[in-house]
Amino acid sequence: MKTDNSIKLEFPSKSSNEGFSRVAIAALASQLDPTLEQINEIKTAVSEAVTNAIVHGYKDSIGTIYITAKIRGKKLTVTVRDKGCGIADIEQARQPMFTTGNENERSGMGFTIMESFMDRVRVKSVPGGGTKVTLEKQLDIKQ
Amino acid sequence: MSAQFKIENSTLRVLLCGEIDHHTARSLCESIDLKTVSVKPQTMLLDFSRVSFMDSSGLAVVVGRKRLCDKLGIQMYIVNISGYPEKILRMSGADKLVEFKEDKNEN
Ligand SMILES: Nc1ncnc2c1ncn2[C@@H]1O[C@H](COP(=O)(O)OP(=O)(O)OP(=O)(O)O)[C@@H](O)[C@H]1O
Ligand SMILES: [Mg+2]
Repeated sequence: MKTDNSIKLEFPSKSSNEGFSRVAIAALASQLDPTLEQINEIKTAVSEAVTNAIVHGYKDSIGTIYITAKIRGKKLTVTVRDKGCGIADIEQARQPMFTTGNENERSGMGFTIMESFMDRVRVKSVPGGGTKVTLEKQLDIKQ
Repeated sequence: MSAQFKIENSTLRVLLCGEIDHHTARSLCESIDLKTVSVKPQTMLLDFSRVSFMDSSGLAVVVGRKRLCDKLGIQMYIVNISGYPEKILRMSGADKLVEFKEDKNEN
C-alpha cells in the first residue's frame, strides 16, 4: 500500500518529551486521514504509555524510551518500550484505579484510557527488565 | 499550560489554557492552590474551554482541587468541558464528585 510507513523514536525519559512524542505519533497517524477525535484519542493513549514509562518504569532515574509506530493499510500500531523496573502483576496493573504512584498525582486510569481510546492494548513486562506496551487502532472506521 | 484567574463577587474562575499532562500538572496545581487559599472564594469554576490537550494527569488535577475545595468549604464546578477530556473524567467517575456545568457567558 502506498500509505504504508513507519517511524522510530528514542529519547531520554524527561517529562518535557511527553508533548513532542505524542505529537510525532499523531503526525504519522494523520497520513491516514483520521478524524480529529481519532487523533485526540491516539495522542492521549500515547501520552499515557509514555508517562507510565517516565513515572513508573524509570521512577526517579532517567532511562531511554523507545517508540515505534507503523501504518499498514488503515491500521496504526504503536509500541512504547522502557528498560525500567517492569510490572510484577500486569492484570492488576490494568485494573481501573489501581496505582502504585503518588496518590495526589496519579489515579490509576492510564491503562483504562488506553483501552477505551484504542482498539487493542497489549502489555509485556519483565520485572527488573522493562515494559512494552503495544497500541493498535484501525483508522478507516469514522465515528 | 497556564491558569488565568478571574474573581467576580465571591467566585473564582480558573481558566485553564493549554495542555494538561504529567509535565505541566504539578506547577499548574501549585498556582491554582496558592490562589485558592489566598482568595478563599465561595465558589470555584474550573474552566476547560481553552484546554488543548488532556490525559489522566488532568483527572488528578480535578480530584486534588476538589479535595482542597472541600477542606476550605468552597463549592467547586467544572465548566465548559466537552469532547475527550469530558469522556476521561466521566469514565473515571469524576462527574459524581464534581458537578459539570455549561457556562458560555464568560470566555
Ligand atoms: N512502564 C511501566 N513500568 C512499570 N510499571 C508500570 C508501567 N506502566 C504502568 N505501570 C504500573 O501500572 C500501574 C497502573 O498504570 P496506569 O497508567 O493505569 O495508572 P497510573 O499511571 O498509576 O495513574 P494515571 O495513569 O491515572 O496517572 C501503575 O501505577 C504502575 O504500578
Ligand atoms: Mg499512568
